[in-house]
Amino acid sequence: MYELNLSNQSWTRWQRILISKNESLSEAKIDLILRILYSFQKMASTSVKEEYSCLAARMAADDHLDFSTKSGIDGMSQTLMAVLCSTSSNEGEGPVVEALKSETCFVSIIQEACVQEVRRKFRLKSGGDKGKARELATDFITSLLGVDAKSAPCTQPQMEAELPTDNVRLDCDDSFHFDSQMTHQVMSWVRNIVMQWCRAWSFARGFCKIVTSRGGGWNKIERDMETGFRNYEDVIISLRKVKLQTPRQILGLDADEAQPFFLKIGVGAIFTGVLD
Amino acid sequence: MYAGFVGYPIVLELSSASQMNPFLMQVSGIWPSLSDSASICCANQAEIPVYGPEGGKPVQDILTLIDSSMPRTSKIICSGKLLGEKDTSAVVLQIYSGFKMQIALHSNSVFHLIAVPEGVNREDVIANLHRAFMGRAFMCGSCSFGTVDHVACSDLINHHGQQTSARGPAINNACPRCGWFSPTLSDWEPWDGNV
Repeated sequence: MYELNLSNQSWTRWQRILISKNESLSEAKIDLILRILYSFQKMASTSVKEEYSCLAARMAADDHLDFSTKSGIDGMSQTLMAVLCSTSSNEGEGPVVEALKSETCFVSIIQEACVQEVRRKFRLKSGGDKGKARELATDFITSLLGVDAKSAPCTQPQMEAELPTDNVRLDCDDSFHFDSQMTHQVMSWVRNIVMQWCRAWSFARGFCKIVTSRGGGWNKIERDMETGFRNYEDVIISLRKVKLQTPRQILGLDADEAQPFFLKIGVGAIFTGVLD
Repeated sequence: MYAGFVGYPIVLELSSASQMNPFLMQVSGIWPSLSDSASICCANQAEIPVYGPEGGKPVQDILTLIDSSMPRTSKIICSGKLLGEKDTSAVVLQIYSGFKMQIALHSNSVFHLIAVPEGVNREDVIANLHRAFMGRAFMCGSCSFGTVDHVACSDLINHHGQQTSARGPAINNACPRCGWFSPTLSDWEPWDGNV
C-alpha cells in the first residue's frame, strides 16, 4: 500500500502492539506433536489411558488438586498429556473442557511445577544432599526476606517460663525487606515456568476445541494421519491459528499484579519444595 | 550389535534423580529430521559427534515413535521384545527400561515442543561455531579471543591492511579484541572452543 499524504485516513496510528514471533507454533512442530500423540495413543494400554482420563476428571472437578509425586504424578508433563489425550478419546465436550477452564487447577499446576523446579535447583547445588539443600534454601530465604541477627527470633534461657504461643506470635517481628536482586532472580525463573505453562495451556485449549469440533474426533484424525498428510492438513492449519497466550492474557494479571504473584509462588515453592 | 529404528533426534538432560524417575529427564531439543538409532549408537560408541541439519548440540538420542505413516510395521517393532524391554536411544539405553520411560519421553517431548519458544539460544550458537570452525580456526596468542578464521594465506603481514576492492573493507589480521598482531600464522594457537 502506498499513500502520498500521511494525514489521509489510509495510515492509522500504531496501536502499540508488537508482533511476537512466538504467537503460534510452526507447522513442523505441530506435525511432530500430532505424531507423538498418535504414538502415545497406540502405545498406551487401556489402564494407562484410564489413569490419564481419571487425572483429567480430577482436574475438572477441582478435586484433590495435589499434583505432587505423592499423589501418583511423576512429572508435570503428565497433566498436559492427560488433557491432550483425554480430549482425543472423547468426542464432544467432556471433563477436559472443564479442566482447561479451571483457573484453580491451572494455578495448582504452576505451583507444583515451581516446587519441582526449585527442588531440582537446590538439590543440584547441594550435590543431591537433602540436608544441605535445606540449609541452602534457609540461607536463601533469610537473605531474600532481609532477616538478620536483630530481626531473627531467638531462644530464651532454659529456666525462663514459656509464654503462651499467641503472645510469642504477637511479639514476633514479622516485617521483611526484600533483597531486590534476589527478588528479581526468583521472579525471573517463576516467570519462565509460568510462561511455559501458559503456552501449553492455551495450546491445549485450542487443540481441544479443534478436535471436538472436527467430525469424528481424534479417531478420525488418527485414520487420516495413516492415509497421508493431505488428509489431516486442515488440523495443522487450524492448530497454526491457535494463539499461545501470555500470563497476562490467561490469568488476567496486570503488570502490577504479576510481580507479587510470581514472587509469592516462588517463595511458596521454596518452602514447600525444600524446607518442608 | 544395535537394533536400528528410525526416530526423531532428541537432546536430553539427565541427572542422578532422573535415574529414579524418568519424568525428571529434561528434553532440551527435538528435531524433525529423522535419524536411525543404530547409527547414533555406533557414533556414540566411537565418540564421534553427529549433528543434524538443524545444527545445535550433537545428537545422542532418538525418540522412537509408532509412526502414522507405517503404523503396523512400527507398532510391531515397538512392541517387539527387544524394544519392549529396552529403548534404543543410546544414552538412555543403559539406564531405563520399559514402558514408563517411553511414556515419560513422549510426555516431556510434547511439553517441550509446545512450551519452549523457538529461538536460537547461546548453547546452539556455540555448538554451531564448534561445528563450523573447530580444527581449522585460531585464537589470539595474547588474550585467547576466538574464533578467528584466517584463510587462504599464512603470511599475515603481506595482506594486512590490504583493500579487498576499490570501496571494500581492509583486511585486518590483528586480534579484533585486543589488537595483538603477529606476522606468522604459527604464532596463533588453534581455537580451544571457548567462546
